[in-house]
Amino acid sequence: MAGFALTTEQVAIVEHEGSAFISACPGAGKTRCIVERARAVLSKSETRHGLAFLSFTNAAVSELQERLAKNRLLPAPIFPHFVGTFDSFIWHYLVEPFGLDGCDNPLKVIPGTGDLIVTPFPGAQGLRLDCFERSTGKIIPEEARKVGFNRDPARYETAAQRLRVRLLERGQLDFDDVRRIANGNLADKAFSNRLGCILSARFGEIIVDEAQDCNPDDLSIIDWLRDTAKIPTKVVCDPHQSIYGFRGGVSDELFKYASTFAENEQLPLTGNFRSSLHICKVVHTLRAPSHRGEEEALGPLKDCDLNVHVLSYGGKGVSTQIGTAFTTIADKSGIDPKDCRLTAKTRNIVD
Amino acid sequence: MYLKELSLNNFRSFKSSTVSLQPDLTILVGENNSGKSNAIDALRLLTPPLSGRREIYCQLTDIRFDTGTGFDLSARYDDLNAAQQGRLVSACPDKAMTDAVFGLSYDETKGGFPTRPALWAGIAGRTPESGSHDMIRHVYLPALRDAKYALASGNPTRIYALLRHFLKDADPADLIKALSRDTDHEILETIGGSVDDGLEALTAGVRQQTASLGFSKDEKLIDIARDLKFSLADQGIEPEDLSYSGHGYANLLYMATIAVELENVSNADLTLFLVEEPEAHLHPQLQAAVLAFLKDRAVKSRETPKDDGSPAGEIQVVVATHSPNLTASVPSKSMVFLRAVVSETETATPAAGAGGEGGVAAVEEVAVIATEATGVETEKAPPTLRRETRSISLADLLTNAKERRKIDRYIDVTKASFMFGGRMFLVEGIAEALLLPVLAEKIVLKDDEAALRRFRSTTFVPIDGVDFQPYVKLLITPQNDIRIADRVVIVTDGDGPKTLENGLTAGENRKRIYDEIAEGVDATTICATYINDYSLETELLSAGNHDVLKAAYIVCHPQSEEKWDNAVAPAGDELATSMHTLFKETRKGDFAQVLAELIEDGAEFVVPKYLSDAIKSISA
Repeated sequence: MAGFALTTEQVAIVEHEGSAFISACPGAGKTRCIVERARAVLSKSETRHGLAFLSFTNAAVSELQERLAKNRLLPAPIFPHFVGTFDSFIWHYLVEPFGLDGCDNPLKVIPGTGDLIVTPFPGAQGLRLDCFERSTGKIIPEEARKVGFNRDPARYETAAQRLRVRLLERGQLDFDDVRRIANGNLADKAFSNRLGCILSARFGEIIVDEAQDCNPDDLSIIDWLRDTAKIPTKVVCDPHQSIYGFRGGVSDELFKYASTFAENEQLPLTGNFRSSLHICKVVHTLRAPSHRGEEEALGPLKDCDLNVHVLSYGGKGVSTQIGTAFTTIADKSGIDPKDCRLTAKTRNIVD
Repeated sequence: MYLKELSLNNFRSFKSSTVSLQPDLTILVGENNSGKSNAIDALRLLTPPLSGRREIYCQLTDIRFDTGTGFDLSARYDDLNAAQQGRLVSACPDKAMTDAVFGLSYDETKGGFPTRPALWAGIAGRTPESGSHDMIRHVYLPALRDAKYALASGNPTRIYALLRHFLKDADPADLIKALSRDTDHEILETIGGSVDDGLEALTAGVRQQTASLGFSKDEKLIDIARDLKFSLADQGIEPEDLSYSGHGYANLLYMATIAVELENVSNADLTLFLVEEPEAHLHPQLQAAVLAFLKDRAVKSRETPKDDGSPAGEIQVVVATHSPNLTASVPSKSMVFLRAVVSETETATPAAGAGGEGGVAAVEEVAVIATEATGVETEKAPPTLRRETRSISLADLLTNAKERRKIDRYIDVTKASFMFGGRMFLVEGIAEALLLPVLAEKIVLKDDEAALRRFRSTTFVPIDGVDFQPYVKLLITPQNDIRIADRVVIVTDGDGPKTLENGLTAGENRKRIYDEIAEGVDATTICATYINDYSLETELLSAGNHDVLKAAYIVCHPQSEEKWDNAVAPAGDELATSMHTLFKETRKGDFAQVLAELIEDGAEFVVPKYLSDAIKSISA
């Protein structure tokens, strides 16, 4: 990928000053684009602001860090720049420095607080803190059923609330607490303006990668960065690759959000450097008509003429016939089964 | 941005103290052992050195007198611009975001082995954003400088640092090549050849060796640095080897080489320039030049604020000094006075509920526990007396701008010694200033060696008709439970018989005012005012020194014996008036010189009560 000259679309992004919504197809070279944008910004000697690169998984963050390091674009330590997860950014710049009313200790993120056991009196059956609603403190019926708890929850609920209060007093937060506090801080207009001012003095641009993994909450924070803090924000996503259902990532919200960008700020990447033309065509067909973009195969494999085979199966399970048919097709195309990649919903299927 | 407050807890001579600093230049003054160097060292521990070469580390011996298991230092920075607030956001102590705080905790029981300090930002325990701490650095100029040694040939450190500084990231290879020396000369070859003869004979049987003589083939930058030498001379004269120069100018050269490091400040938001005893080896005029140089660097660095978000590159100078010359050359608001006072400390006890730190309050707690708990087996050791550094920031003490300006105009080198002396004798004029020491030595304190020693350490300040209420207030107003002066005694004329509207003579009125000032700050035991009824000369005469005074007067005015006799004839108010007229044509200082000489030569003399009281008071 690195050997290719940048496409017109990619150049448009690398040279674009200000906010942008970048909708990229798979294999579009998003990371390369981001790295080149970093190079363009950092090579200008007048640049004194930091750059912030946000993503949603540690894997994505590592990949980007590696690429930036390989290209010798960031100093070590990377200060004043930032490369990290969205949660990490929120923690460092919206929550940690500002403390919590009623807590004199430094704040710490303790991911496992949900696993703490609530026992209202010695000898009682312990229930995980996760079993209790965060805001109301009431026990969550499904969780109670899961562990076979059917007693009067009142004393447990009180104990759970007390435990949460104690954790907050000690400054021991979990990710949800962090979000809640961040939103609370931003809701304070005076604080929000002050913070927006200093963050925009610190960061000249923010690039959010894998934004398809944002939930509405995340989007409102990106909004805050772009509109209140007035930091140019480039949102990069593949709207069709959202995999974190549990985080509430929703495609509709994302498209709605895209429309808040001006027309000259919509910079799509339609060149697919990974897949063959045939695959692109199939994907195009499989998508809902309203979501069909123009996708062009540009990579080294674009002319690969291996056909795409769609094998359907009825019922709930995947039968072994699928496996046989797969191996036959692979054989015919001269591909060693060892070189085949399988992705499936569960391990069982693959076996 | 500047360092506004330095807080020290349990660090060396500091129990629990905060030192306030000024944006451009702060002078730490105090007598020896007051804690000035400790404050400077605290700043060196709290900030990384600009050059990256760390020269000081936290040590167990930094823990105050072995009380407790550790110490805490913190620095609060104020006046941050938006970009600085953004860069130092992790050092925010609160939601206001205006200040940044960086601190250091050193705890024997928590830091691992060997104990390492924990750096924190914002509040104790919070990790600073990686790289943020490097935005504030320091450059240190030590006290004992043998500049000639430090810059001498053979000692490459400073010169190497300079070479590195100016080469920046460039490869030194070109420079080395350009500066390296030719190894071609027949005499070197001859020497090589001769040596080789012997060497061959010695080594042929085992493993034959050859040798040659020349300059290092593989010179590194440090080798070049070792061979470079500084020369120094008056402008326009051929520079001479540094070894021919005196320590003073060599020191200035040394300072100049350190100041070069300040050019790197643009990479940091703030650089503290910490200077110990810049006056060392320096003549007073040069001392003033150094200070002006330091202040100029600081002011220039703030002249053009950066609004492009880049590091501000500001400089803040902190100087520790003993010199009244330096002290007199800066405005009073730049001064911070340090002194070590004695306070009761409990000796280290294993952590009981009593808390421990907190000074007087903690000691009282201990006493209460001891009396109530009769069955206490562990004997609490009696509180020991230990010294503790406290500070007075003159900027905070002198809040009245008008008074502050009066003081700044008033202070010169003599009066600046109030920052070091402790005992101040404020006298009416030059006559008193000349006479009082003689009276003390010869008569009043003649047999009291100890009191005489204390008298000799007193600073005399002639009032010369100036309103020095601001000056008195400065000397005795407390801050952090300490005062600048140990004792202040004021001697002034009654200026009778004329009275003011309130019925008091001018002198009585002045005394009333000074006594009120002293009462107002609870300083009546250390500040007293003594007045006469009329004037010095009149009182001396009335005390019964007619013959001596006449003799002195005749020396000054050989033709005026009759004039004298007529003037001294009356008594009471009339005498005062005639003496006043008589001395209108006599220079009081000259008269006092003559009189002092006569007394020193053994003339009988009676000291007026107000003067002997004043002398005894200042030497108490």
